[in-house]
Amino acid sequence: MMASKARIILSAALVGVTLASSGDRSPIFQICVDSCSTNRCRTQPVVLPLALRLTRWSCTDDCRYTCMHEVTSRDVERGAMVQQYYGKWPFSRFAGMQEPASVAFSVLNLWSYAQGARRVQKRVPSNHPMKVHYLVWSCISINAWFWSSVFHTRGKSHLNI
Amino acid sequence: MDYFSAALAILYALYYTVIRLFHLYPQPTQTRLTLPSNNLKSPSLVKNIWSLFCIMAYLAHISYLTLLPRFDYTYNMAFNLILGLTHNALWLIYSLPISLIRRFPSQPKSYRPPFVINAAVFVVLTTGATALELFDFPPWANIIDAHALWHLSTAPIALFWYDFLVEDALDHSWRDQRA
Repeated sequence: MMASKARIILSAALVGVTLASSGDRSPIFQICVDSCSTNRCRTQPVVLPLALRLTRWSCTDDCRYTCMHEVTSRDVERGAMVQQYYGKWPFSRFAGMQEPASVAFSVLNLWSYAQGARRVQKRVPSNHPMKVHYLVWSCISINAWFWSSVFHTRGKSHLNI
Repeated sequence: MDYFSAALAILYALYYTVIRLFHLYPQPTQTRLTLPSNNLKSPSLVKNIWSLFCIMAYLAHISYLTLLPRFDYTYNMAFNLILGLTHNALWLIYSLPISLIRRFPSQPKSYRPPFVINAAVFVVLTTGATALELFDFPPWANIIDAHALWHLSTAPIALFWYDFLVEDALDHSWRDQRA
């Protein structure tokens, strides 16, 4: 009984470790990024499309993105588990946005809070003691969703804090 | 910025929840004869202490995360989770049929209009949406992952919550109090 419990805990721990292992540490990914940044970025620097430059993609970032999808396609073909890279799933980027779906839904949330603030403004009488709190909270939330959409556009450490 | 703005929004939600549920907002003066009815008493001492406590908590939170050489994700998550759970627990107390608190000004504890159950519905929806985050799966079509689905689900929940807040604020007990 104890032994089987211990085995369950151990295997759960192992599953945890496998899930936590990230694709950016795999040798195949690192070799790919190294050769890409040597060939594409140092020897003959390529000019990235405007959308990528505006969202501050460096040539090495672009290499990481390309390699991530190369390794992921290989993983899928082999039936291996898809890995995370730098703590994120391999998403298709759109107009320079790393996680376009999360950006879109963050903007949707921003709109919801703006809409909610309008409802409070219109329907709650101005002398209601809670009105000001609901409106302040709306502004704070709108600000939070703005930063969430920025963060999901380019989740780099310099944008994070 | 993302984390600090989110923490502020969650903290402020808890802040106004305590003010709303424990009636810390400015009350109309009881002396009806001498003062006009909309003359509000200065915010009570309890409210000032609570405001100060929240401000200190937020400053401490930011200082801790900024001064540490590495961003402490576990602590950040725990901070937000505790605030969120407390917020939800308080609204459950308001919502559930057992009358532990006086829900509305100048009403008995037993006064419980039908819409108060929506606060419990909100807690269930929010908890369900947050549980989505636990099922961390590789994105469908390289686009939608659990985190994106969570963001998608919180948008309609927010509208539902605003409708509840407005309905709560329009309850006749507030008018009776001011009258």
